[in-house]
Amino acid sequence: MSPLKHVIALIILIASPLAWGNPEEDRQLFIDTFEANIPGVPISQYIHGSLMLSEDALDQYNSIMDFPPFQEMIDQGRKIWETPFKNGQKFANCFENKGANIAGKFPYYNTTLKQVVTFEMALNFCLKQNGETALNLINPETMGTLSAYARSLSDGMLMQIEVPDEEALSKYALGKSFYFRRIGQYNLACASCHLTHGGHYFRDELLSPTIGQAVHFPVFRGGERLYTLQMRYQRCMEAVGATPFKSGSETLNNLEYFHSYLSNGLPLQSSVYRR
Amino acid sequence: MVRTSQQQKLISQSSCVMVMLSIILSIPLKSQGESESTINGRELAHSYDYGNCLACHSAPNDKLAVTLANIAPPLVDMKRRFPSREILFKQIWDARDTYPDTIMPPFGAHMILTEMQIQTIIDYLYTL
Ligand code: HEC
Ligand code: HEC
Repeated sequence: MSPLKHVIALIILIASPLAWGNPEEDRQLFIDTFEANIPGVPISQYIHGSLMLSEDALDQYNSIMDFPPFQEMIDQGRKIWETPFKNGQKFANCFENKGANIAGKFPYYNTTLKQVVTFEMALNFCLKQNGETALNLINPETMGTLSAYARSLSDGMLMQIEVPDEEALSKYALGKSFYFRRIGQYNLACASCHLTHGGHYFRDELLSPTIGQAVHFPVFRGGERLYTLQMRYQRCMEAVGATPFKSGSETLNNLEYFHSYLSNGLPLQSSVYRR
Repeated sequence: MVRTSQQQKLISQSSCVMVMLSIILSIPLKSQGESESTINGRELAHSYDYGNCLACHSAPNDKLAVTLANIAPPLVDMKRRFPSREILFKQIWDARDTYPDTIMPPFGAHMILTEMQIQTIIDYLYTL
């Protein structure tokens, strides 16, 4: 795209997010915006998020990832994944391919339930189908570790979110409109920081571009906690002085659907260290 | 803008040294000869809980303003560029009046800062 066309596209994008088109066009517009604002960094590098523009940060990341201090947490998740339910069934039996190479298709639009289903919700459906109690979606010890291990079975799979029909598209559109909605006392949208200013410094934090954010969750941010993607959304909502929506709420599920679609084509890796 | 690791180190080192010094000597971060309102204005502008202006703006003429922010124009030469206190006040109270799509928080309209606090911040801005 020529620079002028790009600027026009961006103005249209920001002025009326609901006016623009199909998911693939949206994704391309995001890519064009980042390519213009962060020249010379190929989209494949975006899996490193805010680390990708700082050699120091990337070095620090690599040394942490050589011996991840959160390996124990992932082992804890493995134990939950492998321990049979009271009825003898296992998590692996609830999923296609025994749970390997599937996470890149989540979230998806479930035509029977008429709602977006996230990977963490599917883990809970599995528990309930087998007469077990669902896990708290925001508990880093249980859902955090389980999701981290279960997702690691899809490491290397390319994100491939599908928006197959009009109903699914309407959920995607709701997620998109939330992404552009100003919220909180600071009156900022996700797009204000991660689209318009992706690659810029917010005080001393480099803002990661939207694309690439969804492929490496849950993340470890120091301490002992593994944060799911929706828990991370909640932290950003708090940061702008908004009351966070609940994990598993329609609002966050639709947001995750839209947000994950934008990372289509990038390889998954669970879990990683992040700020 | 990408900082070299050297620059980043310098910035984080100098902020560390400042904080350490102020803790060790237990002096507030001010230098002599500044008026009380300037000091308060600086604190309001720098603090995460009030202005947090340094999240988006740098202030190259204030050596205590430690930030890598490059989202918004640097706060420099304010007296010359903003001779009208009223215009400056409006920008901080609710920048949407001038820039409808701005990402600058409407500090007054959203009750993040009081009128008095904004006036105090303006006193500080005029020292930059
Ligand atoms: C005030 C600026 C700001 C706003 C608004 C904001 N964020 Fe963030 N966000 C940050 C910062 C700073 C970080 C940490 C650095 C980074 O990874 O980008 C972050 C990190 C993230 C991450 C983690 C990225 C990673 O690779 O680990 C996700 C996901 C995210 N934000 C999503 C959102 C969503 C969704 C919204 C809207 C609900 C939002 N953010 C709104 C500033 C913001
Ligand atoms: C979340 C980002 C953000 C924060 C926080 C922020 N600003 Fe801004 N500010 C901007 C942007 C972006 C502009 C550019 C013009 C516009 O869009 O309003 C701006 C413009 C300005 C201008 C006009 C500068 C010029 O050269 O035209 C002034 C003065 C200003 N801001 C002061 C402040 C003060 C004082 C604070 C803190 C109390 C503050 N800003 C906090 C984003 C921010």
